[in-house]
Amino acid sequence: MNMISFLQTGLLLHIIGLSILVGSTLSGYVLQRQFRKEYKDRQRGSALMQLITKFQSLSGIGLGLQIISGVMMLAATGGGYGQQLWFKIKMMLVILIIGGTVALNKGLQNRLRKLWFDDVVSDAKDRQMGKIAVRISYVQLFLLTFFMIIFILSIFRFN
Amino acid sequence: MQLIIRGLVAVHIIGVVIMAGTTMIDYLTFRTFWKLADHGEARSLGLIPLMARYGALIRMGAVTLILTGIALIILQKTDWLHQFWFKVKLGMFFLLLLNGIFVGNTQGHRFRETVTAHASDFTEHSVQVRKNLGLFYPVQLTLFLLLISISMMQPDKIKS
Repeated sequence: MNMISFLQTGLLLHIIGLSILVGSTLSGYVLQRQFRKEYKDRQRGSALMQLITKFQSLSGIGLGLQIISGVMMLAATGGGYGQQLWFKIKMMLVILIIGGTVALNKGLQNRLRKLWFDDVVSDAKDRQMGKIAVRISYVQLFLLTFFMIIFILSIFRFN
Repeated sequence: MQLIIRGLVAVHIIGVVIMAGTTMIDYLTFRTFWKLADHGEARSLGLIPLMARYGALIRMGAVTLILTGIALIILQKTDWLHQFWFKVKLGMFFLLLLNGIFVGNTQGHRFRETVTAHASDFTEHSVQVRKNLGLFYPVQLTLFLLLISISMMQPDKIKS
């Protein structure tokens, strides 16, 4: 009984973490598109910029929750499925793709923020910000696809 | 057959994850809006068009959730409809749905209309709407948490 509830707490936290991740990535995509439309209006853009930063820290929380709850579940089951093929593939995907994409996303967003707070006003800068915003929304679509693949892998657990 | 059911469960979970996640983000945006507005920063208005776009995501999640839910009830051999936990779950889901449609959606629309119409002094005009929405989000998120917990633990199954 004790074991069950430990495992279930892990699973519940895993679903909450996933909700945070998917919610902030999906809305992050919508937010990025909105930003692309409005960033030339300094005032409106700056409110969206503030939100971009918040979404980023929220998805960090989601990712942290995923890792903690994942370890919890692994511990609760005695690490049994750690040896299974689907789990090895899942971990590889998580570390390589999610890690890489998240780092890429963060790098791009930092560049966008730097440009934004830089006081120089020029068309070249505007164009560059537009380009980065497009790239970020692509990265976010990739992330969502990878979340989906990993999620399906975890549900079907083929061997 | 088992494979189809698993697939449906997967899509069902994707639906709830999108719905709950977007509600969370919506709440965050709402709070950021007021944080800016309370400091007298007009730039808060920049968030209004964004807030109008979350509804579509939430509706998309809800439709996915309901369709896969119905399919699962039909395909599953177990008679969920007669189990206590499932009745509680359904009751809570209807609460969530009604709260979303009649409070969240309606008040959200009113909120955005008020702010757009009274761009310079919306704070006074939106006292009631702000209070309603300030209650709506925590209630909705709590319902999501309870619903997911109940569905995962299925208390009847544990007892037997």
